[in-house]
Amino acid sequence: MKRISGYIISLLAILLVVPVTARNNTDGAETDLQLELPVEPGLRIGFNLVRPLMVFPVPSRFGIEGSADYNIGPDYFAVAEAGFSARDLNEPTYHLQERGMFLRIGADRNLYNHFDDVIGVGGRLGVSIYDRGAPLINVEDGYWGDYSGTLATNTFFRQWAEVVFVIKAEIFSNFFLGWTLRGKILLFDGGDKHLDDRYIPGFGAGTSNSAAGFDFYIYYRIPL
Amino acid sequence: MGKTFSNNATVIIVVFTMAFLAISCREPCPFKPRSLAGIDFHTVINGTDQHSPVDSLTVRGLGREDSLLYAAVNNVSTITLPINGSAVESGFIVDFDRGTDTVWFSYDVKPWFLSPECGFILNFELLETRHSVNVIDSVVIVNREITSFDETNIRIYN
Repeated sequence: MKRISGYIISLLAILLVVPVTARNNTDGAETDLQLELPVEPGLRIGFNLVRPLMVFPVPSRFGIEGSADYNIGPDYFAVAEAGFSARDLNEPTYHLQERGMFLRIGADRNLYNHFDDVIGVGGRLGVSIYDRGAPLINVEDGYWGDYSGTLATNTFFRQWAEVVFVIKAEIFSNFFLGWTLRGKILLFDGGDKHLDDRYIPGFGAGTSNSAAGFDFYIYYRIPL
Repeated sequence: MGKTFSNNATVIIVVFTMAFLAISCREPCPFKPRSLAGIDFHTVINGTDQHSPVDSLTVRGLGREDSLLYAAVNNVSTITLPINGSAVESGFIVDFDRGTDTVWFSYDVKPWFLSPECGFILNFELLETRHSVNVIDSVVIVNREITSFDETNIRIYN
């Protein structure tokens, strides 16, 4: 786990440090460098198609997510992603409700210099604030008799780091399709060995401190 | 890039569909564990604390005297007992070969979400214990968290 954290931090450090270093080394050549690149500046806003579509195979889950990126250097994009998501498990023996908002910020580095298309890697830091409660819990007990109770709704706050592989391709003028593959790891989780299955908006569900994700986006670039 | 992207998009859609199908298949709960209080029997001999197996041990819940949890078992040094999630205290009548005692455990109930397939189980946080003193000398809490991880929670000295 420590090794994965190290990789994530190293990647974030590289993404942040390399553009500064390049700028220092080039000095007066910076203007020429920008002229050589075909990338058009602009704010690109996107919508995650996976989250609303997830409700069809998995009716207990729903979410919406928006994304925005802006070209901050020859190959670098500042990225922000925010959304809402929920898991509502309504079963005969229990009803569990988890819902909340999330925000991810970070940067992508484009490894593919071909017009405005992006094939690259990036890093994100994510935060989520969400509520969790269970208005119905039934547990069978063959000795003492069945238990029936509730779990009061509480608010939780979580942070995580991500490494991202990203593709964005311009399908026609200023419209893009893209997808991301993500590896995520919770930060400051305390190393509790008794983790229950929880749903963290923007991170995912499960009992592990790490997760993987796949998202599919449609983007529009606002020309500046 | 447009043509390449069309090819990529086909692959993505296929992968996407397969992922959706995989996600939508929920398996039944394979095994639903239960959180039981783990209890060790100990004795102190010449100042040394050691495991002490007991013979002819019979245990039943207080209020459930008709239903035995252990029936005259011999050479047992560890038992596990179910905790009553619908009460704040569980009592047990413990018959040794030398006499009978009653022990009570008080606790907070901690519902624990295991998985979407299995739902909730009940964990407990032990608060305190009481006991009669016919055979039992003392009862000590060594781990307050009663979970499904098969840990020792209480030591009974006799």
